[in-house]
Amino acid sequence: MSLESCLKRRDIWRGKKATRSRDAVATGFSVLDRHLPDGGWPQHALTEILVENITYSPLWLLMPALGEIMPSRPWQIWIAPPAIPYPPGLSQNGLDLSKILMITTTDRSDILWSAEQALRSRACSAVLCWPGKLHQSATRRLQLAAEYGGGLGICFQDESALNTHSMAALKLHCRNTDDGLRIDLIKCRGGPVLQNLAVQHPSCRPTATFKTKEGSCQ
Amino acid sequence: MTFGRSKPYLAKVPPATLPDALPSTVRGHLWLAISFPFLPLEALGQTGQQQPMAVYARQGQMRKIVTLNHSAQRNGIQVGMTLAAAQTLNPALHAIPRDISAESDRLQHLAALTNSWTPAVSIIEDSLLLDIAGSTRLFGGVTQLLEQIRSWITSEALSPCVSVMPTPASAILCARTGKSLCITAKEHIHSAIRELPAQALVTDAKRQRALNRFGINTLGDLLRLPRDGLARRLGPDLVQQLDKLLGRQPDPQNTITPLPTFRQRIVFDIGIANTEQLAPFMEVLLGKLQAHLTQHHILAEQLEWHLVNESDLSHRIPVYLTHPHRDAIGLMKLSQLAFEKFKTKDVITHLVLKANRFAPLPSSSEDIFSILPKAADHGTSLIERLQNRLGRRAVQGLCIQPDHRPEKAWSHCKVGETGALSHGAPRPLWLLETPRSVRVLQGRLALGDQSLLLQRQRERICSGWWDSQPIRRDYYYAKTAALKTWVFRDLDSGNWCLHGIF
Repeated sequence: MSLESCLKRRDIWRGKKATRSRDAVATGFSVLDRHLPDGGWPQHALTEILVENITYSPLWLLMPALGEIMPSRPWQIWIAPPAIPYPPGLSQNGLDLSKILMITTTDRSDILWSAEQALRSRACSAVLCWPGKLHQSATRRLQLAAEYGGGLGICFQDESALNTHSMAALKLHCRNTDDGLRIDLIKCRGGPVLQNLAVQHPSCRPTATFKTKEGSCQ
Repeated sequence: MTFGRSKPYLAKVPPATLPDALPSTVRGHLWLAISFPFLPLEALGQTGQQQPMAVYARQGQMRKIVTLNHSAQRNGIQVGMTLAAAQTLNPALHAIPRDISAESDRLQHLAALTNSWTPAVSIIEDSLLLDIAGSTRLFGGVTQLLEQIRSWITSEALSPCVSVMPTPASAILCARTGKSLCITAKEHIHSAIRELPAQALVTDAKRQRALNRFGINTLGDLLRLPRDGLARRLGPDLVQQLDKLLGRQPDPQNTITPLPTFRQRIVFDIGIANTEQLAPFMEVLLGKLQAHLTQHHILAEQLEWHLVNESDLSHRIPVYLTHPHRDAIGLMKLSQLAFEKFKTKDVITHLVLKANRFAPLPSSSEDIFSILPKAADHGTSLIERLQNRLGRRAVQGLCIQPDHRPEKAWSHCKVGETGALSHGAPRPLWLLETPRSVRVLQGRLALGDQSLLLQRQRERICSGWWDSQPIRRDYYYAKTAALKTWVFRDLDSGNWCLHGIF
């Protein structure tokens, strides 16, 4: 086995890399970009995001990345979101609504089936799903589908999934703070498992594009 | 002219059906007629029976035999006998009334199939007439084309007769009288048809009796008679008929353009209770549909399956296609997805496939060097799969509506459609379907156990007085320790509600 072929393997940890590989999409948050192994959300992979309250899943965390990869493929699919992803808001965050597909179903097997189909199809730049509780075998299926299809697979789950085993490439735990999120990496393929990465909500940044008269959250 | 009867005149005529004497392409018109002597039996689906069978039609009070099968013929029964006479000859004769509409359906169906050889197909009473002049070169000559059509029609129908002649009337005449010929030159028509009985052309009884009185038995005899005398005695239309037969007078034909509507069914002898067992039958029907679409150069836009149960109630299962196509394997996969959701305890007795919305085949040329599959293709097939399993309403797009009321400022729309553009003040990423009420505790707003801090900016939205769902609200950006929210105060009731999350 040559060195090059070793280096191509995604499961080999090569220390902290500052460079972003083409298999990842920049998160738009410098803290995450610095600490995630490929310098962003891993493509060809499933990412699990655990949140305190599933109804208020932090979409803002994904907005820059979703906007960036949107032109690459025809669709972005949202499966069974817990509330209405509000089109005016999405549009203001730079998403092209004509490329977004909403799947509304409450049947768990349908959610997983459509997530797998979408990830596998190579037509979706990103697949966001809210599947409820995920079994290990389901995470494995989704991870394999994402590896085949090459899209960005995101699953939002609640904190009950904190101690379950998962085959996803990346598993994050988000805790709400005053000005954004504190993120623990629970599982991170090819990188160290870090804790307490502070990510600021865009509206709380000093150079916010988000216009409020106050300007700051403090 | 006594010259007409002389033998040397006849000897000059070359044998008509020699294949090497035929040119490979034909100018003008060449007509191929197919007659179906057993059409009434075929239309009733009774061709495979061994027992003596006959089809009868009512003529006034009489019931007369129209067609009969070979075993009935062996009993001495003939076409034109009354049913009573036939039943005297063989009391076991199975007699069925004629079904004219089934016969015309069958002819239409056969005519549609012959469209694969030529677009100019007409139905003349109980025969088909094809103008094959334009297709001879494509199929490698008249004889090759004739062989192809003949071998196809013998597999479709019971002892059909195929005849190729330069005029439509002579082709039909030869086919009906069971004379299987292949003649391409007009000057040979006379020698080919002169042996045929005159009754084949002159069908009404009065004229037939007149011809008998004149001592005329064959068409050759009829053609030798002087034209003006014939016209005076038997009517000018008979002379015209003879002229058309020989090609001395034009004889335009109405070609049919069959409607592309597709409807085929399979009837199960034993009902099927499990929908999975339908798969092979679905494949058969989709194969037929594909052949139908290929023939008409069209693509299907929507399919419909109907499962009919014992009490004749049908379940309709539509198959949605995002873009029109005609690939049977792809359609099968989509149909299976649509069937997955379908549950029934009924016993299915027929399976019907219908397609009546079509799109023309786009005339595009593919790049022969491109081997990469198109990404757009994947996209639409994914949506088809999702829609067929989950239903159309479960897979939709999002768009912005030009309305100030937040709950009306968006809607679901067809996949891939674009609506209005967003403008104005920042809007949240999540909107709660029903606003969640916010409590007021000691002059402060509280969401759960967290207090809400209002930002000073306020947006007043008063709208909708015209459609009886008016709102009058003040919207604020607010934050709790964890969330950036969008809350409003209802100006009428004074209640505070949480409506969105940033």
